[in-house]
This record gives sequence, C-alpha cells and structure tokens, in this order.
Amino acid sequence: MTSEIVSIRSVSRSFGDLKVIRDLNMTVREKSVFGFIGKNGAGKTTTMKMILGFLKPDAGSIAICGEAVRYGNTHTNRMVGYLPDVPEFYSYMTPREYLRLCGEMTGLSPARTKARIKELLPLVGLDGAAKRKVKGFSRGMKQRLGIAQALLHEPRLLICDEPTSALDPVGRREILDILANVREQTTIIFSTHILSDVEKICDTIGILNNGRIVLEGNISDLKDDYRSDKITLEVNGGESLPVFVEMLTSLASITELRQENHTFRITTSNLPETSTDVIRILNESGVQLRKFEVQEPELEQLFIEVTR
Amino acid sequence: MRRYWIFTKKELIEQWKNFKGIALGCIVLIFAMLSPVAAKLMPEIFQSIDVGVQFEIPEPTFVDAYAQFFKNMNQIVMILIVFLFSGNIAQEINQGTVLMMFSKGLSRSAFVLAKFTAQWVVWSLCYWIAVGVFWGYTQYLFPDQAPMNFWVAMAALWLLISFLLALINFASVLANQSYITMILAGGVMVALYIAGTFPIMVDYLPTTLGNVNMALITGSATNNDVWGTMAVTVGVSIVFLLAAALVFQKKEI
Repeated sequence: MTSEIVSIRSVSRSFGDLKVIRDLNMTVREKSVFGFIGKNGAGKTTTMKMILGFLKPDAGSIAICGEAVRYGNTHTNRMVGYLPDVPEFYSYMTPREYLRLCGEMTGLSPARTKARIKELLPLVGLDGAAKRKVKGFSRGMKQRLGIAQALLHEPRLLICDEPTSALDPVGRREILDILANVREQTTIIFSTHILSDVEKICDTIGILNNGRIVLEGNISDLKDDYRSDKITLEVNGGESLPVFVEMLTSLASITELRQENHTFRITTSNLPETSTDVIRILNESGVQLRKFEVQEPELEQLFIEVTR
Repeated sequence: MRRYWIFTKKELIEQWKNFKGIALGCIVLIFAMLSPVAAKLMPEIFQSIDVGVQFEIPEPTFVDAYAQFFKNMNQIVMILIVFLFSGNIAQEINQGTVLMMFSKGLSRSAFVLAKFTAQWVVWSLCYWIAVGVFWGYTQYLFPDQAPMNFWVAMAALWLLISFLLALINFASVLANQSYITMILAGGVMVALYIAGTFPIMVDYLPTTLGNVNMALITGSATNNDVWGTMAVTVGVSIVFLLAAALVFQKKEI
C-alpha cells in the first residue's frame, strides 16, 4: 500500500454563516494524480488553502506526509509546490530571476537552482522567454511559469488550483501535457470542474459537494462500480434481421430493449450472460455485427449523479 | 531569518525597479538643494516684485535655509512617503504575488518586517545623503552657518519619518486596501498633531520631532529636551512593527 501524502480528517470551515466545508475526510496517496472535482464554490480552493496553512480550519486536522499542518506556520510547505489559479509574479523580473528567488527562498543551493532552472524552463516551454520580463506574459505563459516555480524544489506534492480553467484550448492542452510529464516525479492534486481534463490525466478523484467528499477512489474502479449494464448493438440489415430480433426478444436476461432501425439499446440484468447470448444469436441468425459496446459510465454522469 | 534577508533584498531591488526609491531620492535631494537657494534668493524675489510699497527685508541667514529644509521635509516628503508606501503590502496580497513566497516557506512576520526594512533603508539612505547635500550647499551659500545641535535636529526628523513607516506597515496589515491604509496612517498623524496642541502631551508625541528642529538649530531647545521624545518614538515604532507582525500572523489570506 502506498503511503498517504495528504490526509484530511474531519475538517470543517465556515465563512460567517456559510458552512463551506463540513466534516471533510480525504486521503491522497503517493504518486497519484488526484482530481479534486467540484462545482464552482464547492470549497475546493478553501480546502487547498487549508492544506497550505493559509486558512485555519474551524475543526479537524490536516497532515502532509504525516506532519501536521499548522495554520500561519508554513513549515510543511517545504514538501509542497503550489500553483494558484491565477498565478501572479513580480512583473519586473524575468522567469530566470523569479525562479532564482524561489530557489533562494526554498533553500536550494545556487548550483542546484541553476541546474533545476535549466531542466524546468524547457519542460514548461519557456526557454525561449527566459530573458523576457514577466510583465508581457500571456495567461498561459504565467501558468507555465507557475508550474516551474512549483516544481523547482522537487516537492513531494504539487497542488494545482484550477490550472486550466482560465485558459484557451491550446493553453489547456499544454498544461495537461506538462502535468502528465511530471506525474512520475510527484503526487499531484488537481482541482477543476472540467471533467474532460480529469479523464485525461487523473487516476484517482474526489468529488466535493456541499463541503463533503461524496465520491472518492480510483477512476476505473468507480466506473466499474457505476457500470450501467447497458449494451449498444449495431448490425447490418438484411433478410435475417427479423429472426435476429425475435431471438433477441426471447432472451430472459434482457430487461429492456429498444430498437432504432439497425441499432439496439439493451439493458440487462446480467451483463456477461447477455453478452455471450448476443454473440451466439448473431452467429446463429447470420446477422453481421457492426458495433458492440458495453457503455462506460461517463465521469460527467457520475458527477451529476453524486452531486444531485 | 535567512528568508527575511532574501525578501528584504528582493524588496530593495523592487524599490529600484519600480522607481519608488528613485522618486523618493530625487524629491528629497531636490528639496535639500532648493532649501538654501530659496532662502538666499527670497529677498531678491520679493524686491523684484514691484508692489508700490517699499518694505524692509532682513538679510537672509543660514537659519532661513534650515527653516525651509524642515518645512519641506515635514510636509511634502511625509505625504510622498504615505503615497509611495501605503499600497505595498495590500498590493502583494490582493495580487497574490506573495502566496507563492509563503508556499516556499517565507513566514508572515518576515514578510512584514522585510517590507519595513527595505522602506526604512531606502528612506535612511535618501535622507542622510540629502542632509549631506543640504549642509554642503548651505555652507556654500552661507559660509558663516553655525547651526546648534545639528545632528540631533536632523536625527529627530529622520526618526519621525521612520516612525511613520512603521505606522504605515501596521495600518497596512489592518487594512486590505491601500487607500484605507492612507486614511488610517494619515488619521493617526493628524490626531498626533492635534494632541500636540496640548502642552502636557508634547514630550510624548513622535510628531514633536518634526516641530522641534528649528528650536534645536537656533539653540532655544537643547538635546536634552528631545531625548525622551526620541525614546518614546523608537519604542512606539517597535511596538507597531511587532503588532503588525503578530496581526498578520493571524490574518487569513
């Protein structure tokens, strides 16, 4: 079993009368890419700021690599790289100067900082802009510099707060590629409400709703659990089609059958049995198969279901 | 402590790059040079204006040069400092630039103290160079200058504005907006000046350090008259800075 990088136990937090986080429990394991999903205003940023010690939980405890996070004291942050949703930099600095400042802050040796800058600027695609002032950077460039500063000290945990939400499709793609590249080196918490981004790079997710985690786990396990037992079948037409339909209707395991021309939507009470039977009657009736698909639950479906 | 120095260094570079330090330096130097010149030329300027009435203007002395210097520094430079430095902390927090520094282990108190330190270093550097320039220029125009208590009179104003910087930083962590900082800091200064109209308070008010300078230069006040006020000013400044660090430690960002 891999070790816990972040563990959040019974954390609550209110702003005035508004209870944003209620008795939140969440675990992020080492070397995972954790998609932290929630609607706008669900409390994702609040949770991340509590992990970083910027906000104080009303109750509960948070630990990073087993070490308790203390509010206002940023000691645990030496293990963390943080990318805010809209990172802002000292505009008069160049990326290199900024990263050098970050290196000094985290206590890297000048030689190590230099070596890391040399590795990171190409990784985030800013080697061509290393001598330009941050002042003229686009949002995407700032986001990429943000990733570079977050990774500079090789943190065990990288926290990205909606890194793709404010970007155009190209910028989003670039950020996702960079994150996919560094997933071997560090654990990533990736907050977002863009589910397609999650499907692209995350292996585990936690869905936050009304201040609680309502669904948590490995994406493929979750999809198995929520598999809808629906089959879509497409066949070629022909003389044998009525025979095929007759045989299909007689299958006991099928609970619902809908036909649209040559497409059949099947709901079954026993997916393996129905699958075998369908293949058999396809053979027997001589109808040609065009498509056989066991429908995967979409992350979107899952999300809508659990946040309803 | 290491991070405090790193951030102070970054602040000093920033003062240079965003021209705030240069602006302050230039203005202070201009006043340092203009004050003796204005004192010297004032009678000639008056005489050149023909108002039809003949009036006697006494020959200017070095005392007029000092009076000009303290007047300018007290009013214009103080206002300039409030404008230049009030947004310093609020801006970093509202823009979020400091969040990444905090995530790299910079402590909140180091952040606040580094901000003050850099401002104070810039102010001190500008001021003492200006004092040197002022002295030299006054010496040139009024070779017989004989100020009494020169160093204490100069140090008094330096301490008063150092106090103002501590006050601005304390106000900055209380307010989230630079204009609120300005109102807070300006309000406190006005309150201190008003309190200064009560003779019983005078010895305990930092603002006295901006009123007593000419009395020191002319010798109608002695160094011993201001030691107490200086001690109070240093004490209150330290209290403001510690309070700023403590308040900011507890502040959610």
